[in-house]
Parts: sequence; C-alpha cells; structure tokens
Amino acid sequence: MKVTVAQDKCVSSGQCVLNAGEVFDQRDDDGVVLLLTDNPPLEQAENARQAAAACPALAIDIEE
Amino acid sequence: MSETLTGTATEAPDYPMDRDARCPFAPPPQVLEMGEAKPLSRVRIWDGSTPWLITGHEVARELFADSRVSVDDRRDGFPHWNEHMLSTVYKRPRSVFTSDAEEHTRFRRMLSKPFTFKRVEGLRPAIQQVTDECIDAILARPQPADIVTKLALPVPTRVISEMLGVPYEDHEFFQHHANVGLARYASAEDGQKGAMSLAQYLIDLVKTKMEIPRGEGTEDAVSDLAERVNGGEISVKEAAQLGTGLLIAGHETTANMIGIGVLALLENPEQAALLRDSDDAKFIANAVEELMRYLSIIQNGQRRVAAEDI
Repeated sequence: MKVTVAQDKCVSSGQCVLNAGEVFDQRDDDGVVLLLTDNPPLEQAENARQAAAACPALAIDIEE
Repeated sequence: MSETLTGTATEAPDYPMDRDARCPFAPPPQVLEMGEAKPLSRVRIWDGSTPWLITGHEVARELFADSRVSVDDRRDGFPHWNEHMLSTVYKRPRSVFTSDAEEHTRFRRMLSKPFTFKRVEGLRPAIQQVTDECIDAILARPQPADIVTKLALPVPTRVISEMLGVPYEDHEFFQHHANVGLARYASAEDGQKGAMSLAQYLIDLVKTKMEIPRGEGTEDAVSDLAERVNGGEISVKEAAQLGTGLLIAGHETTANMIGIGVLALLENPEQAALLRDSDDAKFIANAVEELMRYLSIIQNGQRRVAAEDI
C-alpha cells in the first residue's frame, strides 16, 4: 500500500486522524494533514482506507 | 437554462417552505416533489427575486466544485438570507463564509487550530463535566424540565465560550443577537442593531486579548486571532468577523442538533435503547453522524451565485 496526501486540498476536518491515528496527524497550527507513514503495516491498512473514504476534501490517495 | 428563466419566474413558489407538521424531520413536501421532477427549480425569496433551488444531489455536488460558482455575497444577484444581510453586506469584512478559493483557505486555516482532532478530543473531560452538571441540575428540580433551555443550549454555549475565550456570563447577550440576525424576515433595522453590537463586542474582546501576553490561560480561538492581528496578518475587524462566525455557528447548530436529536430518539425508542445499552464508542459516534445526516439542521442549505453563465 502507498499513501499520498495533498496538503493544498486538505480542509483540516481531522477525519484521517479519527480513523487512522497511526498513519495521519495534523499540524498544530492549522490542522493540515501530516503523513506519518506512506506505507502503513497490514493491520493499519483498513483504517487508512477508511480515512481516505471519510476525507471530505478527497485529499488522500491510496495505491494498493 | 436561460430559455426557462422568464417562463417559470412568474409561478415560482415562495421559499423557504413549511415542513409537514406530521413529519417534522422530512424536508418540506413541496421540496421533495420539486426534487423528483427536476434537479433545479426557480423559487421566490423574501425580496421577490427568483434564484434556482438545487434539489438534485449530483447537480449540487457538481456546482459546489465548479469554480464559476461563488460564495461572495457582494456579487450582484447573490440570494441574501434576509434584508438585514443585504443591508450590511458592505459593512461586514470578508470572512471564511463569504470568500472563495485561496482566500477561503487562508481564513479557514486561521480558524482550524482549536478544531484539530487532538484539541477536540482534549475537550472531552470538560464537555462531560458541563453535560453532567446540566443533567444534575435537571434531576435536582421538579420534573418535567425543558430540555432546550436546560441542556441543549447551555452545553454547546458553555463549550464554545471556553473554546473561544468568551466570558460565559455574556451568553444571553450573544444568543439574543445571533437569533435576531438569523430570522428570515429580520429587517435591516432589527438585524443591524444586533449585528453592530455583537461586532463591537467581538472587536473589544479581540483588542483585550491583543494586550495579553501568550501563555497560560490564552489557549483559545479569539486569542489565536488576536495574535494574528498583532502579527499583521489580519485586521481587528476581520478577526472580530471570524470570531462572530464561530460564536454563532458554534452554539446554534449544536443546540438545535441536541434538541431535535433527543426528539428523534424519543420517537424511535428502540434506537434510543440500542444507544443507551452500548459501551462501544465507535457505535455511538456512528449514530451521531447518522443523526446529523438524518436531521440536517441547516435545512435551507447553502447559497451561491454564478460568477459567469453556466
């Protein structure tokens, strides 16, 4: 799995951290997405997929 | 679209429409009928103008993402909510609610700091305490109690006051002015009095916070905005406008959601029982999401203006 994020699209909703806190974080100052790992381990893959699906700005891309 | 413009304008129904009293959670029956017939229909609003009402999901999504569609309420033809909003359009500084594209993103990011997942999660003990206190106060007095005034309004008002750094003692003042400005037939005069005193209140608050050095006790959204004013990023008026938006959006929506959410659960006791018996935080969070979708408290939707022909 390869995860990429588009920070310019991010609207700081925090849905990614809610769904996959091991894969994503938010910048303290403005809540913009931070990618903690672009290749999450198998047990976090489903959470990462849910985060991508929940993102209202479609700012997360996942290549399986 | 232009060939139907004059033909339908004369018979355009008044908007917003009343809901069916027997089914208060559903959109007004007339809106549902219009949505089945076609995705766009002309409606007549308070000033006699006849903007398009978008009822089609696909069309709405497409238009929201179209850069020719603007939320800038200073553009000609913008469907203002009431006379008050039209009469103050040049007095209000642009904010996150009335700016497009990059400007919107800039304002939005200024407001995001208190709403990151970690900061909101960190509020959990304080929100729990406020909620417990409200429920204890209800239980300590004769029954029945008014859930709106005793729970639905005070919980979000106290929480947003804390997040913004607005003294809770002032809640009657800002609740009153928020309600005046949001009424459909708010006159220019009524609305202006409320909006101007609320704006002045926020301006004074921003100025007070600008004098306080950052540190302990300044972890709040108005202090964040005051810091940006000190840094030269925005003006005091812009900071006050952004703060006003958070204050109104932050307590009215949540209060209405709690009130009608409780009503929806009372009308569906088997669903209420499932929630009451569950210890699963994810199950409860999912139910809250579903209630927000089902109840759609901002029932009359978002307004836009076409910046060019579509």
